[in-house]
Formats: sequence, C-alpha cells, structure tokens
Amino acid sequence: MIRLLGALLMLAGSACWGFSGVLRLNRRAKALAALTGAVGIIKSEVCDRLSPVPEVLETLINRADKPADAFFRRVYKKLPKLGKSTFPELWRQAAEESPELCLKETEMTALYALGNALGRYGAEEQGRELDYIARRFEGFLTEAEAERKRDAGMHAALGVAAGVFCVIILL
Amino acid sequence: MSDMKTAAFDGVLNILPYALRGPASALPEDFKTMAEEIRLRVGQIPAVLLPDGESPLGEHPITPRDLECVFELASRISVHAVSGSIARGFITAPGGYRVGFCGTASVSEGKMTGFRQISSAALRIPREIKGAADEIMPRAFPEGGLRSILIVSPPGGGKTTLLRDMIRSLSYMGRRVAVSDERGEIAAMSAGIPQMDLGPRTDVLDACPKAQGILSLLRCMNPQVIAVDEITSPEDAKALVSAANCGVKLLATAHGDGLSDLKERHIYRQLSDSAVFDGAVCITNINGRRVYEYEELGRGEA
Repeated sequence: MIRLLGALLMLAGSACWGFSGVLRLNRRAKALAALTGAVGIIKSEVCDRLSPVPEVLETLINRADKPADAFFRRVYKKLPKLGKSTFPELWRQAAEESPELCLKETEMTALYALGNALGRYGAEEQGRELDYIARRFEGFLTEAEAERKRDAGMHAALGVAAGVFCVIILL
Repeated sequence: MSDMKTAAFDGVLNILPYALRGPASALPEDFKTMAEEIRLRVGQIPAVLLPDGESPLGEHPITPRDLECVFELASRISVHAVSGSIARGFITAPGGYRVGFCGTASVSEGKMTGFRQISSAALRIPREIKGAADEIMPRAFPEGGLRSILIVSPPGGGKTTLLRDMIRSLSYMGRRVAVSDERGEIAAMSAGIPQMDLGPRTDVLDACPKAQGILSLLRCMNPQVIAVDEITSPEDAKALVSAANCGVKLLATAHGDGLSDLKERHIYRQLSDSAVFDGAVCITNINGRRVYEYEELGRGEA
C-alpha cells in the first residue's frame, strides 16, 4: 500500500514538474503579449496626449493586461524614491522584482531599454524609440508563441513519462 | 504661522536630490522665509540665494547625477511634456517652481531643443504675499476704476509676486480677470486647480504661449482684465495691443531697471506708441526692502 502511495506521489510530482514548464511557457508568452500591448498604450499617451510619465503609469495600471499591470504598479509605487534613485534605476528594480513576467535575459534587456527611453526625449524621438522596442517585443512574442507550441506538449509528456519511468524502476 | 511662511521653501524640497533635503530643511526659519533661489552647480557646494547674496547649503559638492535627479523631478520624468519650455532653458515644476538649467545645449536646425548635459540649475522659490499690492492699488486704480498697468523691475525683484496680488485684489473687487500663464508661475496650476490664490473671478490659461493665450482669452472668456508675466517677444506686444484695442485692460510685467531702461527697447516703444499702459509700477530694492513707485504714463512713455 505504501509503495503504491509512494509511486502515485512520484508520478504526480513528476507530472507537476512537466506541467510547471508548460505554465512557464504560457506565462512568458502572456507577459510578452501584455508588454507589447503596453508599449502601444505608452506610445499613444506619450506621443499623442503628451501625458507625463506618472500619468502614463496610472493608465497602464488600469489598462495593461496581466501580468504587466502588476509590474507598472510596482514602478509607480517606487516614484516617491525619485531624487534618491533615477527613474531608469527604479524601473530596473521593479523589473527585477517581477518574476511573474518570466522574461529571458534579452527580453529583460529590452524592458530596461523601455525604462531608459521613457520620458527622456521629446515626443517624436520617444515615438521612434518606442516603435523599435515594440518591434523587439513582437519578435520575442512570436518566438515565445512558437516555443510554447513546440515545447509545451514535450514538457508535459516528459514530466509524465519521467514519473512513469521512476515508478516502473522502483516498483 | 511659521509653517505658512516657509511653505514655499518647504515645497522646493520635493525637487531637490535626497542628499540635499536634510541640509535645506535644517536652515533657519528666516533663511527659508527670505530665500529667493537655490543654486546648484556641478562640482560646487550648493547655495541658497538670499537678498544679500548666496549662502552655502550643506557640505557636499553637486554631482551630475544630482542635477539629473532635479531634472527628472522638475519635469516629472517627462521631457516630452515640457519640451517647449526646455527649449527656452527652464521647466516649471509642480507647485509653480521655475527651474532654470544651464549646460551643453542640443541644437536642431539652429534652435535649442534641450540639453545633452546639465551643469547648473537655479530653483526659484515663488512667493505668495497676500496684501503685497495693498499699498499700490489705490494709486494704480483710483476710485476702483480699471486701468492698464505695467510692473517693472530687474530679475528677482518681485514682479510676479506683485502681479499675483494685483490679480487677486481685482478679482475680489468683482472684476473678471483672465491670466495667460505661459510658465505656470502665476497660478501654479496642479490638476486644474490654481495653487496660488488668484481670487474668485479669475480664469487661468496656462502652458500656452503668451501671445496665443491672450488672443484665446480675449475670444473665449470675455475678460475685463488680462494679466501676463514677462513680456519678451514682439508677438506678446502685438497681442497686448490687440487686446487693448478691444477695450480690455492689461496687467503685465517686464524686466527692466526702470522706465528709462525700457524705453530703449523696440518692443516697449511699440507698446508706448499705442499707449497700451496707463501707468507703471517700478520696484526697487532699498536696503533689502521692496519699494513700489507708481508713475502715470502718457503716449510714448511705455
């Protein structure tokens, strides 16, 4: 009975490991889609309405999709620290405190670049920079979607298969 | 009461780098009350500008990062929202604090568009002195009648403070006053609400170029008086002449060392030829005290 219970737990644990990989791939694609949409909102607010960055962040908290909204809320909450740290530093700290975005290193670099550009130039120059960053995020999103389609099934199957394999060996 | 007196100075702390806020808030109360500006220069000890000169503030020299922080705080991290004023070298920070910058300018098509590197900043502390105009009002507006008045003084002489109180007084006297507040220093608008008391019958158009603002107020708000700060361009003068020709009275300020100094300048000759102003208030500083002198003006006198 105990051996059976142990085998079931091992199977479940292994399957969970596999499905967490699937979840991570889904989350990354979702975060990149949300960030790509957010860059579009930023561009409208900055280039069309000339809204100051704190107001842009308020808009993003309300309008950006999950999980990007939580990241922008984090940046907004850090604004009272301006004067001690610069805005790009606060943005970077907020990004590092946002593991839910599940971004890879190159994607994080693009996110930092967004923080470096935001509010730093005139509307026209920022528009060009935002277009470039949006294209980068679109590229990452396409890549993440392809990776999800390609690897999600494999992650789930590997998890379950690893569990079955261990159970067979141990039983 | 002391809190009220030092409120303007305390507000400027919000646009200072953190390291400077402690020394600035520890200044004696009379320093805070009299302070006109805070001056920050890279590599130098910061200073607070008092009527009798600069006094050091803290012990640590200013770094380029400090000035970057001031720039971010004053612009609310939004160059795109203040690019028009940056091109003229200053930003009006929340609360009506004008922050002037100096450094390496970036120039496009022969015009300054901003700064590549900032080396100095001057944070001007606005003063709201209710009653500042009490002494001059009966002479400038005898029997409560409306007239067009020009306020003249050298930079930092208290023109905007006097203009603000004249606007407030006229508004409380029941006059409709419209303010074209290009630099946001007169009303210090925040979320559509003036942070300075300009009276119950005052309409404010801020962040709009003065000349356009004057004409827009003339068309849209049916004012009895239009007030503007610092006439500097021929366009401003032209708009003032148009408003005066429509029967609106004007309150305006100008940099100058008295009326004779103004008469040397083309812009004011244009205004004097049109007899736009009925009188002028010249502000002089005598032993650290502001003295207002009123002069009647005729055609050709400003």
